[in-house]
Order: sequence, then C-alpha cells, then structure tokens
Amino acid sequence: MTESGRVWAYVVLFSEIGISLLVTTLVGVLVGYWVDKQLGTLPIFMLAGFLLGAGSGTVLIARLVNRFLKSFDPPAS
Amino acid sequence: MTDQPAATPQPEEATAPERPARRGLSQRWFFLIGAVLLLDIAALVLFPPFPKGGNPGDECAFPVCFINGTLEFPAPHVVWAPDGSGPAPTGLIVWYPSISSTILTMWIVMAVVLVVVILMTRGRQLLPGRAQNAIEFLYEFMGDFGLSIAGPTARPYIPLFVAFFILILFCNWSGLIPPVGRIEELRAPTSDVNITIGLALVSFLYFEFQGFRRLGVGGYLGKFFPLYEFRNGIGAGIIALFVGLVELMLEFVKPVTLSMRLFGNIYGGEVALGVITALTIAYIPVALLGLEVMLNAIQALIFSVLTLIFITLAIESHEHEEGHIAEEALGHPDAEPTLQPAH
Repeated sequence: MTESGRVWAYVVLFSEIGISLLVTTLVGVLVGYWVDKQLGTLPIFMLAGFLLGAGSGTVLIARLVNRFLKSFDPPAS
Repeated sequence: MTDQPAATPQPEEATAPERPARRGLSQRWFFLIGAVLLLDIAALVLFPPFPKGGNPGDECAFPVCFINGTLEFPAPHVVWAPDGSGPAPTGLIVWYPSISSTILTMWIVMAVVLVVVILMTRGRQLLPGRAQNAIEFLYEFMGDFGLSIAGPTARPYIPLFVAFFILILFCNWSGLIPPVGRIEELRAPTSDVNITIGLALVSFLYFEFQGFRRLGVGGYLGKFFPLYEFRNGIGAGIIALFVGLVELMLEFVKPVTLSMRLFGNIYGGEVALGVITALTIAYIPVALLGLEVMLNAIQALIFSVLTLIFITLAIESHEHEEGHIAEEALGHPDAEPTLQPAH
C-alpha cells in the first residue's frame, strides 16, 4: 500500500469507527425503548439496549480495526 | 615606505531608481472587495428576505426569519406524484412513490456526467486526444488509488468504485451551485436520506452478491456460522458462533453507516451553509462554501472507498481472515497471532 493510500485508508477507518459505534448504540437504545413501550418497563430495556448496543459496537470496532490493520500490513511470507 | 596604491575610488554603486510602491494591484483588489460588499448590501436592501411561504415585503425579523428562509427540512419537496396529490404525508417512514426534487436533481447530474463522458470518449484513438487523455488520466488515477487502498484483489471492482465516486461527488457538489436548494424543484440528491439509503443498498447488495458468488452460499454463510469450530471444542465453537453473530450484525450495520454518514455530512453542510449565509454577508459564506467543496469530495471518497473495502472483505475466504479467534482465545497451539509486528 502506498503512503497516500495508507493515509486515506486510515481516514476511512476512523470515519467508519465513529459512525459504527453511534449506529449500534442508537439501534440498541431504540429497540430497548420500543420494548419498554410495549411492556411498560421504561427505562429497563432501554438501558439494557444501550449497554448491548455499546458493547456490540465496541466488539465490532475492535474486529474492524484488527481486520483493517491486517489488510494494511499484510504478513510477510 | 611602501607606496600604497591610491585606493581606487570605488565606483558608486549604481543605485537603482526607487520604484514607486506598487499600489495598482492592491487598489484594484480593494475596489473589487468593496464593490462586492456594496452589491451584497444593495441586494439586501432592495430585495429583503421574506418569510418562507410569504410574499415579498412581508416583515422578516433578523435572525430567526432570515434563518428559516434558508433552511430546508430533511423531507424533500415533491415535484410530481402519480396521483397528483400535494405534499407527501408526514411521518417517519411513509410509502409515497413520487419524483422528489432530489431525484430530479440526481437525474440531471447523471445526464450531465454521462453526456460529458460520452462526448469526451467518443472516437477513441490509440494516441489519445486531450479529452480522451483527461478521462483516461482520471480513471487510471482513481483506479491506482483504489488499488493502493484495497489491494490487487479489488481490480475487477474498480469501475464500480470510480462510478460511485464520480456520481456521489457531483451529487454532493450540485448542492453548492446557487439555484440548487433555493428553487424548490432542485436540491442536492445526497442531502436526502432516501437517496443515500438507495446508494447504500446498492453497495450492500453488490458486495453481498460478490461474497456469495466468490465463496458460494456455504462458504459465505460459514463466515457467520462457523460450525466447523466445534471440532476444536464446545467452548471454541460457542465463541466462534458468538463472533460470527457479531459479524452478521456488522453486515447489516454497514449500509446504515454508509447512508447515514453521507446524509448527515451533506445535509448538515447544507444547513450550516444556509445559516451562515443568512447571518453573515459576502465572504464568510464563500469561505464555508470552499470548505464544503472539500468536505463533499472527502465524503464521496469515503463512500466509494468503503464500498471497495467491503467488497474485498466479502470475497476473502475464512482462511485469510483473522478469524482464528477461538483458537487464540483458548491458547490453542496452532493459533496464529492476529496482529503482525510493525514493519
């Protein structure tokens, strides 16, 4: 990978990291809020959804970064 | 006693005649800047803003009315509806087939880009002319750039990468052309979440299709449901299944992130530009316009680069992934480190 390609790859990676964490957390909160509305248990499932969403987002980001870094620096044969 | 030669009188250094200070260029720029400012003030006085939906001459208080006059709400204006009805029904998600201002602008952008490219590549020669050379340079530059990021496996997908980049770039930039956004019938396509969701869905369907095509149904689904990991033990299998489910969720997060990032940046930029134009005058909006030109280009690049990267991730087989998670987690002797030492 050329130097300019690497720089832009990092820009893309950072952009994906931020939005992925936001989306997964938001989806978790919205799903939890909807379940709370159905069961009348506000804010239990909303908080659970937040934690699950944020946790999943963190795992996704860790795997994304790992995979991106590996593609940036392929192992020496 | 030595005779010191008489000091040769040094010729007087010819002093260049003092050039008068160059005031011409700075004066011209000063007058130009002043003229633009006066023109802006005259326009503000002669054609004052009026409330949205109101008539010229209606009272419009600064700053609220000024800002409201430039704001455009997320839902696009309906240019034509099959049943001839008025505005789209309100709601978060509505089914209302129609031609919106964003769809119309996107068609115009597509037509302009296609016509220009066809005209520039008409009658291709082995020794290219200026127009053909320009197109070839652009395509090869983008192709090399895409390959430098995604690797040689991305070569078959470079046409899609370049097409996405060109389309999204000009869709983004179309919102910065003055009539677009001020006329109801024209609006930047990517400032509409419907358009960005459509682009993201095309990207998503394409890289999923390529994954199934390259690896087969079993091979591709095996990345998300690695049942073969159970041969390394129940613990390893459960961990691998959990990781696979997380990966499956990541697949559906990808189109959401692609669409929301593009929509958020372009729509937010339009709103910011509208507010700054309403609150300030002349040169400050121009500075923000310059910033928006750059940011819009970056967002087009991010979308197309991510599509290319997602394609290459989808077509790589499980052996090439870092997915020996279970073995690493359990300290299996055959486990390989996922991170390579820095080169």
